[in-house]
Amino acid sequence: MSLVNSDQAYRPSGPHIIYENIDGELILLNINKGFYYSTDAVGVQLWEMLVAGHRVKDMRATLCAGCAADRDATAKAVDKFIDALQVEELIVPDDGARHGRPIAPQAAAPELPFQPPVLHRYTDMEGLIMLDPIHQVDDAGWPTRNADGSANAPGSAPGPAD
Amino acid sequence: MRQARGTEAFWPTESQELLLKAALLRGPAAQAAWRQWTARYDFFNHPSELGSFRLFPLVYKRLVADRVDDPLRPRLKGVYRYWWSSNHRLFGAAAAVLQDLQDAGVRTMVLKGAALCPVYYADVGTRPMSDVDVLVPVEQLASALARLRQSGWRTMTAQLDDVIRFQHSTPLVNDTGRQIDLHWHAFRECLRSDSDDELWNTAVPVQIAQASSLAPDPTMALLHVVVHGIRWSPEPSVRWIPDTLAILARGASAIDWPRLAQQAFLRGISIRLCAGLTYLRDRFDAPIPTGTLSTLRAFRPSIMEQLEYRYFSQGPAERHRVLGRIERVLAGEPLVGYLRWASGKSMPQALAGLPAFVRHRVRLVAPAARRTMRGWASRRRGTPVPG
Repeated sequence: MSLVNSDQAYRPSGPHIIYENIDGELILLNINKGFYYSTDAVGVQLWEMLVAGHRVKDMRATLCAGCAADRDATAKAVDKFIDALQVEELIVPDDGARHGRPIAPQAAAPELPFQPPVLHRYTDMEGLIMLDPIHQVDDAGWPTRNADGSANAPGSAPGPAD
Repeated sequence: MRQARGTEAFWPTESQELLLKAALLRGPAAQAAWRQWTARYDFFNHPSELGSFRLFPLVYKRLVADRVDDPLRPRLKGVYRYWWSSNHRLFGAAAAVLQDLQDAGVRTMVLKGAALCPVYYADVGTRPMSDVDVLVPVEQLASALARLRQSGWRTMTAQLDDVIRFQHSTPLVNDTGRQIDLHWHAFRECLRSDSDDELWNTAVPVQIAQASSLAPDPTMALLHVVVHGIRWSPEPSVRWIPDTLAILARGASAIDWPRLAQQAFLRGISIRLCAGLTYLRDRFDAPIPTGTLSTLRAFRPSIMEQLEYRYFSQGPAERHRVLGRIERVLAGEPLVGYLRWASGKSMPQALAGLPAFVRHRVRLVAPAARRTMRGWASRRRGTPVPG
């Protein structure tokens, strides 16, 4: 069951959460825990709306307007992603008056196939930093280890069951 | 034809220079350099070169900015992610140290990467760092060390008094294996009690994660970076080139060029500053005023500075080749170090410090000498060298 309230806005849980959009990929660090995360294009879009102060229902509406997907499926994917961010303590509810500016409708945007956002989690920062980022990683580059390494696949962040 | 650089060992290799151009030039010039580099060198089997590795994040950012689709781009992006993550971890750890020192009433200034990243690069992933350098006022060093010991940091030498007397910095480690470089002087060449007054007086505020500190102003940052880079080092010092260009890109108008030259003269580091600035202008069209270069070239440096430049210009192969020639041996690091330390002191003071200086140098080289002796002895006996 989702913990997400559609009227709720969220914010990063503190200055120990560091993030950057690198060429369409969002990477996040929880400095206190030493965890590294990454997510792809839809995750980037959701994160940017989240840090701008938008409520969950606005995020759902924006994604539904821009993608060729079932509204319920899209809303569930948004909720699941927000849940995962909460479980990982990357975000907390933002109960202040801060709410993002209204999101412009994306009428002109082409309807794209919807790819549910996935939050990849890497929990061994100490080990990752010890990797040789040229020879011990696969074609996707650090931090995905190559076949010579162990635990090469990133873990998906645990989210509540659908 | 542009002026050729000299033959000193500290200049970038051909590979590094191509990468520098791929990273620091723009558009077709950068892309041509990158194509040449990938045609001549193997990304996965480059016998290298920490220097090259540390340029890859900048190359990645240039490819992105120029919208170049390259098969190595995902790999380069990975290197960028690596340094972005590693640097943020370093900043997080450094912030705790800086806060600790501030709580003890000790002023702090960050140097090198920790100062350049937030102030001039504004992109944490493009400036690789292996540690954080923290400067404290020399008169507050005892307080700083006491506070850091309370927080679990320890020095890696038993003879700290000599280290403080004859060096400018020392590494500190804690139980988690983290390391910082604690400086009580910013320049290894300038060990007088007032050597850093100018640096402190002109410092600018900087934020390191959640901690506030100071950083050198653009003029002193430029001097520090160039002089630190213009010397041979086992770890290629190629980083000084993007560092100086980053300073100039963001703050060329803030550089006080006459003050820069004056500080170089006062510190006896004008040869290296002149060499570095000339290289930057000739190879990367850096906006170095001709008047500044003329002023630096017209200055007659001391014999000590000339000896020092000669020594620091040589790589290990050259040093080995000339071993035995009295003139070159005398220009070695111990003499240079002693002359630097003694500069500004009276003759009796300088002579009185000589035994302690010799003791300090012997301690520095003793472990390596013992390993060499064990190696010789083992080879004579035909037994393996113990680890």
